[in-house]
Amino acid sequence: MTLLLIFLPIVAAAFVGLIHDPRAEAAKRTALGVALFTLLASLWVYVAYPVSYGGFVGEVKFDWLPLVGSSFHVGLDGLSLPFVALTPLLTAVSVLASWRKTDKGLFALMLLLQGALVGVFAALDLIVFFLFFEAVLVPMYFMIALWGYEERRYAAVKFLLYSLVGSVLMLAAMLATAYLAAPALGRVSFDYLDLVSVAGYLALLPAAGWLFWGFALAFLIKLPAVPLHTWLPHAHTQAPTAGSIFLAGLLLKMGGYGLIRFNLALFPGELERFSGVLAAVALVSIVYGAYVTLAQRDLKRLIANSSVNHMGYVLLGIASMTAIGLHGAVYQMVAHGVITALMFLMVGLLADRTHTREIAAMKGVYNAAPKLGAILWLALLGGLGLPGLAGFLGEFQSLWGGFLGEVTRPYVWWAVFGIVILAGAMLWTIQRVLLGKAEGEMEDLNVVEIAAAAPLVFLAVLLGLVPAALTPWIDAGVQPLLTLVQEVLK
Amino acid sequence: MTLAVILILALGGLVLALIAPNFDDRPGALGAISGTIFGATLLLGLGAAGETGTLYGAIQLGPTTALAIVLLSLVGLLVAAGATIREGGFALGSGEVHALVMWGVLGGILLVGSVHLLIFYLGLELSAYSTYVLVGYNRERRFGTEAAAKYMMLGAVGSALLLFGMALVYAETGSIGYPGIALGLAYNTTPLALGGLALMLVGLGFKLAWVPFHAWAPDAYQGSFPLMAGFLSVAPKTAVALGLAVLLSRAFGGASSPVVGWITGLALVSVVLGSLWALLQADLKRLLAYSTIVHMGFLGLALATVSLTGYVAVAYYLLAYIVTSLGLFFALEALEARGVPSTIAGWKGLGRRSPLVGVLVAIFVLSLAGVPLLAGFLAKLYVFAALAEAQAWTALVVAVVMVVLGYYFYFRILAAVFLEEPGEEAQALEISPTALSLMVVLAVAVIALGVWPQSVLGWLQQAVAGLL
Repeated sequence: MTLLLIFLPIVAAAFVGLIHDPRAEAAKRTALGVALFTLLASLWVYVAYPVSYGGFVGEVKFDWLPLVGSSFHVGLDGLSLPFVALTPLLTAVSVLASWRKTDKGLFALMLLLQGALVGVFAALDLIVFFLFFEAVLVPMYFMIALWGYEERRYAAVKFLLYSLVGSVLMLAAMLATAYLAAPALGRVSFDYLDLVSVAGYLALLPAAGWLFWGFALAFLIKLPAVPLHTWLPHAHTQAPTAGSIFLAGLLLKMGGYGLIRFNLALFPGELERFSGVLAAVALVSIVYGAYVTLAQRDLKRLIANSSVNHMGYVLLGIASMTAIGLHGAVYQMVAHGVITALMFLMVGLLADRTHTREIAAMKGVYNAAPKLGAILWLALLGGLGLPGLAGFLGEFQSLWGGFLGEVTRPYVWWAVFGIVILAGAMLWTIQRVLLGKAEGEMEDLNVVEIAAAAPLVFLAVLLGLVPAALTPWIDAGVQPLLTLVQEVLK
Repeated sequence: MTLAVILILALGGLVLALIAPNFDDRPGALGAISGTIFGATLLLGLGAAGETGTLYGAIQLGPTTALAIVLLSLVGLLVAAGATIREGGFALGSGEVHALVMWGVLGGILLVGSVHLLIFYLGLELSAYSTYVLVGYNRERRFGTEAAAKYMMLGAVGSALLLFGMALVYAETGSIGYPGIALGLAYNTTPLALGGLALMLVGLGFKLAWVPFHAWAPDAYQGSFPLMAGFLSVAPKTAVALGLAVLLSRAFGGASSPVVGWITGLALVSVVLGSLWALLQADLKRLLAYSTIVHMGFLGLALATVSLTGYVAVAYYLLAYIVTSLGLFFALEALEARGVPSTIAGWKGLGRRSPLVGVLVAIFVLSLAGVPLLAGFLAKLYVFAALAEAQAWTALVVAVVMVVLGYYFYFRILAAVFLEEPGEEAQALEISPTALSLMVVLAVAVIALGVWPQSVLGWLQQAVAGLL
């Protein structure tokens, strides 16, 4: 099943690339069909997951590079399943959001991204993880560079180079980890479960700090954390709507997921040692991210910068190393994936209509296009963390977890400023863009566009009101890690 | 079987050179003959892995020689097929091209298989002289003659230094057979002997285009037909890299550690400076020359670990580089034959003009850059794994950082192909079906080697295990 979720989209992408389809009619339908089918499949795995037992389901393992000690090992657990289910959903949303596009290449790239992203979240072998982590870059580069807005080339190259610097250092750290762990295991192995079993040995290595930062840098760039975030405003702003949805909804999550999956599980001692640094970075991301959001004139750029703030909470939750904090970090990632994807979707549709992303040039959108306005309104409120919507629970738990962690507690007080400033930015945006009297006619959402937004609206509300739809899965994923961390730290 | 391979290639080249004038109007027939010969030697090479002993005290039989036969026959087979891309053949005659390729391949096999510096040198020169002529084949163009002259001058200097180094080694060890040299170096490594080894390494560095002995490569590539540049980028490199591995294990035994240190130094300098220079190139063949320099640097890093993982990395790297590099040079050849200049500016909008060619080019370029699920990625991964295993952390970090620069200059090609608009007068492009089918085959090979490499890796591992 895991293999199906990874490779069906990739095979479908090749198929879409090969067929003769000048208007992309077949391509978009294939992409939508594959996304919906894999969505159902992943939901089925999600629901069937034994939350009370935890562990990995759908594990597949076979020899791949025996001499190097890497096997093709994938599996899903409570930590990865929410993202594995979110990926096909956002693919479907992206396809619907691009329904007017006529290039089959765009749809092929979306399918490639979907497969690679599921691969990232499912990988249980370091090399396989790296493989998919890198494989995400190429389609994303082309998606930005070919279908983006005016400064697409610059944004795409910047995105590519930033990501690469992180990932090659991570590769070096992975190789070093595996070979340094070899004496404890008796063989070289890149298998995640093998390496986790010798986390205690890894903690004693003199190079553990270097290894930790080798992984952490890649993930902090992806997350992104200030000061490694400067690629994000460009990439998000210049990407086409589908690209922004993928970037914000899923690519950023690779960072937070990686921090929990690798930095926390393999190097808990180092995470504890550097948690003050990480919390400081998180605090700067939260406050600075919010402050910069306030200053934006470009609506897409505004949302991009709010992501820096949102992902700061994720880092804070992880740095706290408490159950609640980690819980909040994962919840916040899923919530951000839903709400920011919705924001980018609505802003993309709005920009298609107004032919500008300048906030100053928009006015009274709610008046002119009530459906679009209402959904954008909801998304912006979700972005500021309104109780009752998904974002609130994530932020709240992250902060609470941060408060419970001794090292992170002093930083939480200051993080509150971030909440206030971001709330100001969002409300001001609502006032400038949505309220007021419309100056011209605007076409409201059509059926396809409503279909794209509906699942995200539904999830934003559901996850805000019914945390039980997600909490048990996160528990099943995070608890074993925390038990392990406690053991290693002793 | 090794003997049969040597005889077939030597005589095959002779026959092709003799009958060539009668077939000048039918280059396809010559390609078929030459391809058949290389196909036969490829199969014989697969069978030669089980042989033992030496041939007339000069050629070591066994898996390493078999590996050289297989890899170089593969190069020969592909180049023989590639020589038919240009309809009407080459102006100077097509038969000679096949003969020279055949002798070049033969020289490479001899130099890997030799147990004797004399044979090593003769093999090296045989392969070098073939490539001198091939590089000069583009005689009508000004750059062609210049390229051949520069390449031959610097190649001759390299050979002379190599020979001088061999003489010093002989003076100190009293032997030019590998076992004798190993014995002589085992007891005392005098400064003179070390100097000899250093000069030999310089000579081989010229052939492998390691910085600072690389100066000929960009000019030679730029001035020759893409097909010849493609042959130059893989055949001599494969032979010399394997030959150096053999020398390290069988001849330099006692003095390996300083030599290995020098190799690491040269390789690191090649990777770093090659990547930086590649950023500045506007001509695709020059860019690919610097790309070769960088790849040979990565290969040198693996070679210098003198470990099983390192040697498997070398062998796999060579195979991956053969299929990737030749694929890209076939694209250049086919496009030059259609009047598309081999420059980044000339390739603007190629993806629009011919989407299939664009995608195939992208596969090769991404493999050169080392994107996962393609052969080039696994090649680099094995190099990095060998470095990690040897705990060579500095080299590992420098190498991975240079991968980023590599991405940058390879993505410049892709940016021109996909992101730029074609020029005003450009129309849809139809390239030769031969080239297209060859490129499809090679692209499939690149993907297959990157996704499912087990059987190939297993065979390579057996082939190089004897070197340890």
